[in-house]
Amino acid sequence: MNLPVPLERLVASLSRLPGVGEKTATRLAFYILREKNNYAEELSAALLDAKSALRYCRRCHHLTDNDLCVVCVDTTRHSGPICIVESVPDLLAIERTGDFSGTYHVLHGVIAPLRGIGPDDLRLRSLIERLKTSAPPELIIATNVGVEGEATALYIKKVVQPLGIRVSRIATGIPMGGDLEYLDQITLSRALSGRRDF
Amino acid sequence: MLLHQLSLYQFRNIEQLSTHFADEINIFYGDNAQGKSNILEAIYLLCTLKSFRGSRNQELIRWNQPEGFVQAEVHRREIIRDLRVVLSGNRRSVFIDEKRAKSLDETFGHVHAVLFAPEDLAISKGAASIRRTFIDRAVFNAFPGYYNELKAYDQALRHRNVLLKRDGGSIPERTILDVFDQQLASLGARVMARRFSLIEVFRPIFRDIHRDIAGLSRDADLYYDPSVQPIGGVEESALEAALLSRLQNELRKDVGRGFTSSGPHVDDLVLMLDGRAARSHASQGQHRTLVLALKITEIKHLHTILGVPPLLLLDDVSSELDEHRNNQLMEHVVQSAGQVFMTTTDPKSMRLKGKTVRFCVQAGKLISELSS
Repeated sequence: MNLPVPLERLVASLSRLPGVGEKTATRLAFYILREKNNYAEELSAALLDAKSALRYCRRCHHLTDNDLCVVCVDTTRHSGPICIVESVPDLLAIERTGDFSGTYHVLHGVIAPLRGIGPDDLRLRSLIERLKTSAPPELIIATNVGVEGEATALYIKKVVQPLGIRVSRIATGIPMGGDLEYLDQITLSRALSGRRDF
Repeated sequence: MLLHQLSLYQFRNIEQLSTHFADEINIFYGDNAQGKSNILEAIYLLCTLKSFRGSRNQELIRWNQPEGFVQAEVHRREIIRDLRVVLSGNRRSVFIDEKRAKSLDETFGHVHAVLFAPEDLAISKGAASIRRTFIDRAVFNAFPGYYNELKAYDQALRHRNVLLKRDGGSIPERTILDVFDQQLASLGARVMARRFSLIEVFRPIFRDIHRDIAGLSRDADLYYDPSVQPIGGVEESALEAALLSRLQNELRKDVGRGFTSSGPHVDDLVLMLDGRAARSHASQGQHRTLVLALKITEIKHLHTILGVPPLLLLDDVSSELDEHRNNQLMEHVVQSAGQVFMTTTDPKSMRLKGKTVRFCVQAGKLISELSS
């Protein structure tokens, strides 16, 4: 079945979104077209506005519509540790815990030679600059646990070492409310080998 | 462990098939290219999610069909489970009692089989990679999480190899290389430690079995031959230190070759016969005996882990059964296993003890069943 060209173009653009297949894209497209009250105008304005108004924070590279993000604007957080994350969604996840009172540094990726991503493609140089000007009490590396996240963590540890800042890595192990019997073997054996005195 | 019933749908040349099996020996006979081995392949797929011919879904799903499945009812210690592997596009999904398996633990471990095919002679005669696959599968059977450990090692290895090649023969930037060397050493040490401890378990069983089937005058042995010799023991930490210093010392050579020359990905399992390496010294018959002894070791090992003997899949072993002596050897294998499934072009050559059902396979259909 051939859709009219404008509709097909809309479906094609929507289906490029992660997690959205052809079917869902078609459903969304029909929804947008059918919806009254200028929904299409509202959506396109919101998209364009977000795209043009949003940029990365000068200090930590979190998303913001200002020079500094909401975290960096709060100077009471400046004396706390810096938490290094791979992406903005990871930052938001930690922020939601409400337990972290320092600032962040978003790398926007991990080191992955296989995909041609090296340290220079990450926001690492600005991290070093930041550390030189304002030494935090601690650097918490919160990259994901996997070959690439682990390699990135090791790399940061190596380049930061000469600055004499305390570096820590987030713990891995048993999730809260996790029943041991339902845990997968990898998590469980990691938790066992990473046990601590009690 | 018993496979009571099996259904295939749009699998290879089989449009639809549903059958029940004997608890002891099941023989599939018929001319070549009728689909005998496809039935064994389906059972193997249920156990491992892999094709023993290394085929992709495209080849496994019947021509011009969108999807296919293999389903079976498995009895183990009086527990009955319904297993289904659905092949669709590039995906293989597992359903246990109609519920989709999500984790590695849920997916594997419900049914185990040991396969013996004529090509298995290569375990003794062939390349090291064939022996690594053999050990890795045995480790995986005992510890399913090994699958992820091996995958992580492979990923780190590929990252490092890219770094070696990237700068066209000059030494890559040290910090980033160090990072991957460390990863490779720690993940590689884990893989090596698991293989070492498996071989430790295999070795006495293998020696006994070989003595049983080849006679007391023949002395077989096996050991893990690592590309890096650890100083002191084979604990993970010693292996990690040895591997790391090797990676660093061989950097120049590795950059020249464009790949990593040491690590578990080049290690070997060495089979010995009367004090000499079997690979270069054993005769055809001796290779066969060694491989049979290894397979029986694998069966016994699984039996110990699972508490029940695994299934045994014998693909096209009629040529093996020509001689009286080989028939006796096969009897050894069959006796060590639980339920047996075998394919042959010549059902008369099969004289095995045990309750037997014969299935004639013709053009993807089972056309008769004979019990004896």
